[in-house]
Amino acid sequence: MRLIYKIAVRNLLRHKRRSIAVGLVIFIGAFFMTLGNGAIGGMEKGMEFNIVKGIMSDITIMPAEIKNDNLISSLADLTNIERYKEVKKIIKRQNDVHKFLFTLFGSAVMLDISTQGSSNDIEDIILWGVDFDEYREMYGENMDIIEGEAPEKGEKGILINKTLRDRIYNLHNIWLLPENGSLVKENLTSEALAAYDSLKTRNDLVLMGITGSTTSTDVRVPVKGIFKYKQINELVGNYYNFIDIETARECLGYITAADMITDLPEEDQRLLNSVDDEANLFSDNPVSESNFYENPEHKSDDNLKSNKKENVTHDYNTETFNLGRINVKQGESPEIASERINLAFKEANLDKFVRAVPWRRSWSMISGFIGAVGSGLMIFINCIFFAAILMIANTMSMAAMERTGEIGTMRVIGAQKRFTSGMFIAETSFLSFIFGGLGILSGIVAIIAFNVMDIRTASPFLQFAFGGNVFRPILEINGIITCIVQLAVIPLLGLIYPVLVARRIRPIDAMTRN
Amino acid sequence: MCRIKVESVTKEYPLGKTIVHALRGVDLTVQTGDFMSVVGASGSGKTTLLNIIGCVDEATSGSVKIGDEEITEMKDKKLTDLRLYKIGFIFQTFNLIPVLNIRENVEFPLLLMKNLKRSEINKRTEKLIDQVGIKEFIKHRPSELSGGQRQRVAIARALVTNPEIVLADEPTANLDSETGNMILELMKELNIREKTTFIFSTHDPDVIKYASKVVRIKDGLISDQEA
Repeated sequence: MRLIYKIAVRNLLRHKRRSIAVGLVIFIGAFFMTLGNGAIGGMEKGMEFNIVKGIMSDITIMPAEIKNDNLISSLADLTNIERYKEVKKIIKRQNDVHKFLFTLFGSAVMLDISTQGSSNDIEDIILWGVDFDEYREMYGENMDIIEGEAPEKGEKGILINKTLRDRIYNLHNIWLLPENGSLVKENLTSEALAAYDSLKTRNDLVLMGITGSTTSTDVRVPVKGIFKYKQINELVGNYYNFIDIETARECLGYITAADMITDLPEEDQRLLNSVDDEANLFSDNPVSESNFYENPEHKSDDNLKSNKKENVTHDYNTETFNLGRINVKQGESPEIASERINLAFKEANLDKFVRAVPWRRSWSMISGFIGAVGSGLMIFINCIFFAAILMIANTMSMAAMERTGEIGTMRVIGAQKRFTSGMFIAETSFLSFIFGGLGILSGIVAIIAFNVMDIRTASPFLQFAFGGNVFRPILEINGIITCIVQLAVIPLLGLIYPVLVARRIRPIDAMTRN
Repeated sequence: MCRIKVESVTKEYPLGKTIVHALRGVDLTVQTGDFMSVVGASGSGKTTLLNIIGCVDEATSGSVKIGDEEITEMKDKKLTDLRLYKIGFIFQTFNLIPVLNIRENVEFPLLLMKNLKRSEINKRTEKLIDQVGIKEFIKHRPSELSGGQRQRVAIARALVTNPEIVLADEPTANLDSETGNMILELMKELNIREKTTFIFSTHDPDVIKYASKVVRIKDGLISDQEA
């Protein structure tokens, strides 16, 4: 072995130009693979935090009767999640669940928008009925409210995404403003800015829920705020508009908290029962204000007031939700967590009512895009990989042919074929180690530099490639190991042909060369 | 003792659309300790014969025995081992390994051998380098030596494994006559001292006088043998 390495190193030094040519190929390959792996890693991480965990959620809990995993195509068919409280308990018990939120997901037609403006298209809006406080707790600081503010708890209102507002203006010439809001020039589109003086504005919407049944209600809802996501807003903005949960229930034809039957005090129930009882109603002892207050419990006005107050306090956390959103803990797989949750549902006999679907299936279009962009990057890296293999194969084959006399002489003297193969492998290994190592180091420096440079994009395609608005390739030990493995594989693959050429050199070739 | 026995060996190879008959049925016997010269004009088949005897080329037909071993049926691996352990080669163009220095070139075949101790390698290498008179160039690369010095290195390399046979294809062709004579004298000296069998090809009449046996070859056939 020492002899092989000695000859290999000296040959590399002897044929400096060739060594540098092969070394440069390996350097460039290692550099771009490190950077590419960093970019893919950054994209995946960015996707995970900015898109999946920050916006879409790792897992969707949907009614079991919805057989289609794709949320958007199942939108109109979503129904109330039955036995919600038990479902919630099971989710709470899961160790791999980080946070969860129940929502009402649906779409509606913006009635008085669709009938106005220059477009005849019916303008629909995708709605997420949420408790804003709970939403903020789960998704943290992933959005900026650029105009107005989020509705308070119990307050009616809608938060519109900037992308949707821009679209509405482009199609219908209506500029949505939050209640009591005024035009903010920097948020106007160029077209809206051009028409600034004659801009038609609105600060409410009339929504008609699109549901599988015909029980939806038209609701007028004030626009409370305009928001945009801090990352990839242009990509997902159309799918995300937030409305208070009660209005969502009303609009989409679900039972609202106000509709819920409340537990009446015993006396009130008795009163109601007695009213319902026709015999009592027409009895000699009808219920009257005088005999009602004869009951000591009813004598206090305060008591009565408090009972009344109890009746009008709405519990918004009722069972009327059609979708659950779960984020799993860091490092947990949404697919595996979904399986565990589904198993737990089955054990609790809840699998007839709900099921958990990982985001790759529930947001198949987005995951498809992500997959396509990831594949594109992988193809790019593989092209480099392939080009590097071809260039190494070509250069080293030439080297093998140039050294026919030398290799043939070695074979005549008594070197086996594996000795000549070993020489080429050793030469390329040295080059890989030195130039590949430099390439990886340069790639690491480039990754750090790109992070410092803070390169931003507004292009939706690039946002997918970046995994957010900012290009943030990441350095991970797995990525570096992948590079090293690739670096080991490339020269080996590139060497297959040159080694075959070298092995085919016969002792007689050394003689005939002379 | 018979070291090499060549019987009815032919060698044909295609050259474009024609077949070249390099050897047309050669019979030859070489004894241990022979200092044999194969003589013939260019293209007569002498190099081809040496290549076949040296397990460097394959005969188209016929039989070649080295000792008791029939080499025409051997696989490449075994032939390579046979070349390493039993045959030494001296080339017309020296064929030293350019990236190795003189010492490394001489010890090269020993390093290919298995189970040889470093001390034994050093001993044999130094002895041969000393014998061929190139001790002062031990650290030099081949490119730093003259033709004669390089051929001495080649001789040392050929002999360092203590081969039974040394094949030399026109070993003096690239040397001036004075150096050529020195090389031949060195080979002869080693032949006498070590009892190594030497077979060398030449078409130079001055070289022939060193041979103990002369085999003349013409158009692929042995035309004459003389002791």
